Amino acid sequence: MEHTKKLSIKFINKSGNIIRVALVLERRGYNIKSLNIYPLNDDSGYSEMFLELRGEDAKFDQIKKQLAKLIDIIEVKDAIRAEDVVPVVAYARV
Amino acid sequence: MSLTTKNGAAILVSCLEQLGVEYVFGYSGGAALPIFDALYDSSIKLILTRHEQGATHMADGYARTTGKAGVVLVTSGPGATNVITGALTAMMDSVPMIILCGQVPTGLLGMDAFQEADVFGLSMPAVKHNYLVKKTNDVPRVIYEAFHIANSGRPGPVLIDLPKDVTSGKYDGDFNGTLEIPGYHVPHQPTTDAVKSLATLLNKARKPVLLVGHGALISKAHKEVLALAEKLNAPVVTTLLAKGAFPETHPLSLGMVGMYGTAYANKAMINCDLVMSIGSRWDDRINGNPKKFCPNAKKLHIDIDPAEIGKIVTPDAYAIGDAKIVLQQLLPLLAPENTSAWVKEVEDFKANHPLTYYKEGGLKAQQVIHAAYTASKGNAIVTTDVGQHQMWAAQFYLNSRPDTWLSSGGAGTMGFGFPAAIGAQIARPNEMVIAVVGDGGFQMTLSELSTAAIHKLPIKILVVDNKYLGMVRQWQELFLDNRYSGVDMVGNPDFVKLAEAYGIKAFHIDKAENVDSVMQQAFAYNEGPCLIHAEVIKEDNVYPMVPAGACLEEMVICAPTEKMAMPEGST
Ligand SMILES: Cc1ncc(C[n+]2csc(CCOP(=O)(O)OP(=O)(O)O)c2C)c(N)n1
Ligand SMILES: [Mg+2]
Repeated sequence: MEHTKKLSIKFINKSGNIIRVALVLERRGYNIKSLNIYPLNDDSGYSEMFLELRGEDAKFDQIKKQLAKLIDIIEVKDAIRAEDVVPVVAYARV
Repeated sequence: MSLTTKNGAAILVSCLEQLGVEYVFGYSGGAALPIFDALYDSSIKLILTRHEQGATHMADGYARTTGKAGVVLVTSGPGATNVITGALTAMMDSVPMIILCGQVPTGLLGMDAFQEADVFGLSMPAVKHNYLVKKTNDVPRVIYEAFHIANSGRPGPVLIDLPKDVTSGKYDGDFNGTLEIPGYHVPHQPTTDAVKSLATLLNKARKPVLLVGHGALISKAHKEVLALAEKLNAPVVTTLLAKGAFPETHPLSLGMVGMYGTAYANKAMINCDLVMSIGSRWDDRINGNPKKFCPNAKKLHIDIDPAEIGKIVTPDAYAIGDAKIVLQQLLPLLAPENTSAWVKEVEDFKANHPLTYYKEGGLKAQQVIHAAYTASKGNAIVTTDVGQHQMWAAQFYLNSRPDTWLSSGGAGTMGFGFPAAIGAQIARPNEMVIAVVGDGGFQMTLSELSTAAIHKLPIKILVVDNKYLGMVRQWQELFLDNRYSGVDMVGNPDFVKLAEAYGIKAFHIDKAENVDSVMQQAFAYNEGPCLIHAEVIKEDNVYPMVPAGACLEEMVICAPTEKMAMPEGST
């Protein structure tokens, strides 16, 4: 079964980290439908990535664990708020 | 230490010294010149190899024998792309390694400069982590972070790309040891509940089996594994990589499990009521068909990598943490059932399906390997290449100590065995090291004969020459009607003369009756490397065998009389 999923990933915005995330998804047959990135408003220096994904439901937990394993990823969670994936919000925060 | 007067390369080398690095395995080139220059003044010994792949497998062999990260140094472009195979090999088997690559100056990145390769991008899926260092002042932090990441948790290779202006530029930073890796956490300590949940199921089991994986060796849990097996009175099977984590001469040992494992190990898996993996990832060489795997058994899993839990097998109980710590906490909670009926049942499996081979009809690889076992009193560090000889070595060279069995498991990298033996012998100069290699794989990295000869390393190189890419030929014989395609090694060199061309002592065996005496002579020779060329029969197969993708019940114990269906799983 395939459903659309929404993920939020807090990460250190160094070069290469978007590729690392994309590689984990690509390898496990997940397709990125949308991707938004914006810096967090706090002093952490972290950024947050919001992804809308499509891929096999059964692989989702494993994918989240593999993403969390990436060294520069701080946190991976399900993005439950609808606005998390709306680009306008992202631009507004930048 | 005064860091102020040094360039990036000098800072890099002093960091390596502070981190206790004894050896760097490398190959020079333009973009790495500053680093090689800094090594000139260092106490670190540079082992110049003959190919960058050789350097990676040497570092790997060094790391697997010592538990310390092996260090590789290469130049940019082709030097860097030549390390990818070795990085993957280390990654798949969780081996700590640091790979330092020279790179073109930062100003030329992305300009298709001479010997530019995007090794940062190329290596990403083959390493635990990687860096492209853009500022000289970042060098010490990156080096310390890289060693921490490579060595801790589930170990792995870390690659650092070092542009030439970064290593030749002046360092004026003030690194104080602070690492900046807030996203990296290692779960050493299991939760108390997790350990209790393991104990509850173990205490109910009547037919338990311990499946010991490489993680048990990495966490140095061999004493705890022994204590656990004896307390539970449970038979023990190991993966290919975990040979030596539990003495294979112990009455509870069933040897290696899986595709070419012993029949009794596989039968124990089929019939057990509980299997606990200690640092094994239930991979497809053991568990070709997860739906039918150990059908009647509770599955327990101990792993330091949370992503392994539930990846292939959904466990009934699990603990995330360092295997040694988990076992130490688990042992006092055990009040096991009486398992003697089960142990008796398993002993019958052993008696009924012993590991054996036909001794008639020409020289057999199994006999040669067994003779090496006898001549070395079962006490050597054994490295292997990949193929039939690897599986025969796993079956007929019993390991009773940890860190004495080095084989490329996850990646199955041909060319690994011989350079890995060089790394192991450098790490353990007083131990006997045997490299069991095939005629095919040996030819992939035999240029390192120079490296072994120069350093007078007394490695015994046992070339099991069947004049075929034997493992592939076996599959073509069994599943493809003997349509041998791309497996004939016609054109093999005379391996004795080849060794002699490098100034290396060589022996030859082609008759069963000479095996023991030649082996004794070869093993008595310790002035430098020696090569034993064993011409074995061309067409022999490894049994028992579980076809790829099949469940353990479908194990083929001896030569089949009918053609077999092509397996569906990954071969
Ligand atoms: C680098 C690499 N290329 C190809 C393979 C596929 N492969 C696996 S075993 C094998 C045959 C190995 O032949 P040899 O080294 O002579 O050992 P044998 O099986 O004959 O003992 C091959 C080609 C591999 N594992 N690694
Ligand atoms: Mg061969």
